[in-house]
Amino acid sequence: MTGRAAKRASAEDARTDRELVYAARAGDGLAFDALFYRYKDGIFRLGFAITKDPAAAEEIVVDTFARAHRALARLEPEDSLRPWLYRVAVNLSYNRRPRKNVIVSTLEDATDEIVESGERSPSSLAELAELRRVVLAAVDTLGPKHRIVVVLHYLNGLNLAEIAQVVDCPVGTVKSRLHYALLRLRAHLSAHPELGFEPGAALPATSGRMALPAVEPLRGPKE
Amino acid sequence: MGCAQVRERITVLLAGEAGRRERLEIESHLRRCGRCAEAMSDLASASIALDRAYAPLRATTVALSPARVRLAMRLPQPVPTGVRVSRLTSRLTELALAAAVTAFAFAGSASVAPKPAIVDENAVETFSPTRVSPSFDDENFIRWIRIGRYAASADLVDPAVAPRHADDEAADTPHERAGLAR
Repeated sequence: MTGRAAKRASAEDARTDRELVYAARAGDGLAFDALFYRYKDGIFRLGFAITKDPAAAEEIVVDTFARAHRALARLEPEDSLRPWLYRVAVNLSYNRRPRKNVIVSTLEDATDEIVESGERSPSSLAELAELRRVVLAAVDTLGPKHRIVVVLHYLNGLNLAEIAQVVDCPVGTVKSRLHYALLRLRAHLSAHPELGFEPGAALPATSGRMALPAVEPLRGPKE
Repeated sequence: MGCAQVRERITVLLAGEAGRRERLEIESHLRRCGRCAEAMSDLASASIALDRAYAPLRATTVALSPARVRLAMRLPQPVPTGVRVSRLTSRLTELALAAAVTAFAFAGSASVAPKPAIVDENAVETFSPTRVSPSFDDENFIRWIRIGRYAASADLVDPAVAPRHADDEAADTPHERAGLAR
């Protein structure tokens, strides 16, 4: 199937974002498609984490790339287009009016709807669900500035410098927001001793980052 | 490194962005200072909890095609060269087929329902000569070719369930079809 072959080719396009932007500007539609496939999932997750509405998150992906398409002539990514795209997506997500007649669920409930559960024992599944409920509820109590830093770091895997680019503030500010968010979350977790996060339970892993895998999977089981 | 400095850098360490030397300095401080170690442990547990809480969502993917972006912007959908050729060929084939079949319908007996020249395996059951009405004419034939390539008349085709052409390159997954139709 030609469409599928083209999609696979564009998902694995070896060109850098910068090269793809220049090619797309010159009229190469497949270069634009490659950028789309490279970032659609990350933007979807980001939009979904903020709006908690999968349909809204899909629209945010489409609108973000529509803006990118219009901005092709003036885009000058130094390296990655991701900060630019994510900044647009964050703005679209926060400026979006909630749809009428849609009851926004908690992120954890909404996630259950779109994430297929893996092979886990029911008890660990329940524990994990409880942990997620408490943690994501705690994130919801943060203000938007702190919440977005948490989402970009723990969900999207951006490093501190990239987050600074997305939210347009110094890296030091990102650090202090993350620090504050972690302290707040810690306080929330103390109120739930059943989750096993009593003080001293988790000793720091000393090597590497303990946050995230570096690579965002491009294709999942749903496709 | 003093306590204040260490506390400030715990977040950097947790974010995985401390250099090796910085990490060793922080660790050696934590071994000596119980209060900083406790602060580190607190923040680390929060960090691990966040990491786990977002794990399912990190694996989420969305079935969206760039066609949706062009649709939203009312841009034409680009067609790769190879596809363009095949699409042209398929159009020509369709046209030739339409001409041939129409000619056959005129020439042949009106009571005999012509067999479809292209047989879609999924569609064989739906196409039944008995369902072809006597008023089966060339107009219906062209519809037959254009709509589903198998249904005798438009009345028999429910647009909602009519299968797409097999060579519909724009959408190759049900998700995308749904997306495009929206």
